[in-house]
Amino acid sequence: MSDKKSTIDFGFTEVPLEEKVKRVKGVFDSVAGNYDIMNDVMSMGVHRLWKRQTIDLSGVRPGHKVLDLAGGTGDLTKAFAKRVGKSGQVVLADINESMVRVGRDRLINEGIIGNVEYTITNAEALAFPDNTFDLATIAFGLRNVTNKDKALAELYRVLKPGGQLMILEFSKVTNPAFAKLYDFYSFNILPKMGKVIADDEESYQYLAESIRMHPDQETLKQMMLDAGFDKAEYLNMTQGIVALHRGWKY
Amino acid sequence: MSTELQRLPIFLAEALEKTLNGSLRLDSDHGASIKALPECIITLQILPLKTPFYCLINEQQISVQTHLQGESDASISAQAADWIALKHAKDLSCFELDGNRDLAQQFLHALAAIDIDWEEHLSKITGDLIAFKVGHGVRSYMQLKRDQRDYIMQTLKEYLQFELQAVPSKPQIAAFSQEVSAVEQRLQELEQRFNQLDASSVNR
Repeated sequence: MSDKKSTIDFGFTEVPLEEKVKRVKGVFDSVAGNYDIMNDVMSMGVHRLWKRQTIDLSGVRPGHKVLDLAGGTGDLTKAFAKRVGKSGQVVLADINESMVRVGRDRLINEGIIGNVEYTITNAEALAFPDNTFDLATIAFGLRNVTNKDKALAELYRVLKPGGQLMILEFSKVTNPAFAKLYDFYSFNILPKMGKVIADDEESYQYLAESIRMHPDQETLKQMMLDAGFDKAEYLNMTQGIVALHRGWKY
Repeated sequence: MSTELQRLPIFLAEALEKTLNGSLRLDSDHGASIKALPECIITLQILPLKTPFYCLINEQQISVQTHLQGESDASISAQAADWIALKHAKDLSCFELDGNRDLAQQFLHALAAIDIDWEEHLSKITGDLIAFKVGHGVRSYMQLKRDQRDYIMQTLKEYLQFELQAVPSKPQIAAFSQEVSAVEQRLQELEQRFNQLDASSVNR
């Protein structure tokens, strides 16, 4: 294997392949406790609207089995658990134990029990049988995955025929003027906010950099089709700061 | 593709969800009649809006969304004004039901049965004394409004009755017309009489 293939981006830095998982783990171990507060502050609450729209478009119904991959502190899991009811099931999966622990404690405290399972799993090697889920979501997690193609193929594998994958992720801003403003915010204000609120400037610097390194809307759509999805489309939200990609397995 | 406009129905769905669940929490029976329904999906169509609202009902709460994979168990369609007046509706004929009609009717009756005891809930926040005073104030104001409305109605009724008495009745107008006709007839006769007398005096 050449040197080029043995390294991967970690924000704007190139690191050895095996190093990224450890570094991403470090970032999320560091931010887990303040993750929800920081999300609210960083996005000025708009992340709730992005998630709400994702939940609405999922069309999920009672009895469905849902995988919330990179589920973090459980925002989507909570909403899906209420919708799938007793006859359905939601699996909150994340590679990071700290995030799962925070998510599990939060959901139990809010009375979301009985139809939610928690698991620590790598998106590139999902520990579920083929054709298991009606819906799989990965919100703000795919950009942290080392091998995205492998993760998409795994998500395709675990979906039932007719199932849907929803990827909510930061993407490429469509308006050039707004993009400059967004860049200024991301690289000058965001890390400073991370320092003030979570005393962790570096992690938030990485979050901003990793967003820029993530594939744009069309590239990710093509990656989904290459991974085997029979249909893929995307929806820009807030000028493309975030895009919701949807893929179907027929 | 911009999604700002597409979000509007989602905001409405969220508002509807919060309103329904908030009402269930404040209901004196804690929404028992809704929670007694089986796990089901009911489509609400609030005309003239075109977006359907899918209510996913389980024993804990109602979730509302504008998209659904598959079909709902029942659907209910009505004008927005009819939905607002549901609690005081004498019959439900303005609600168009489809699918499982029994389930749809149960849902409508359960919604209409929600009864919120505001004073009780306010007392948990402000204490009994303030809640009683606020409740008493609101009740007094409502009673004052009712009294004023009744007074205005009574005054108007009496005024109209008085005015009706002042206005001549149909037989009175007929009698008066007859008298006028008689006077007119009499006048014509007198005129003829004068003319005859005048003519005879000229001939002499």
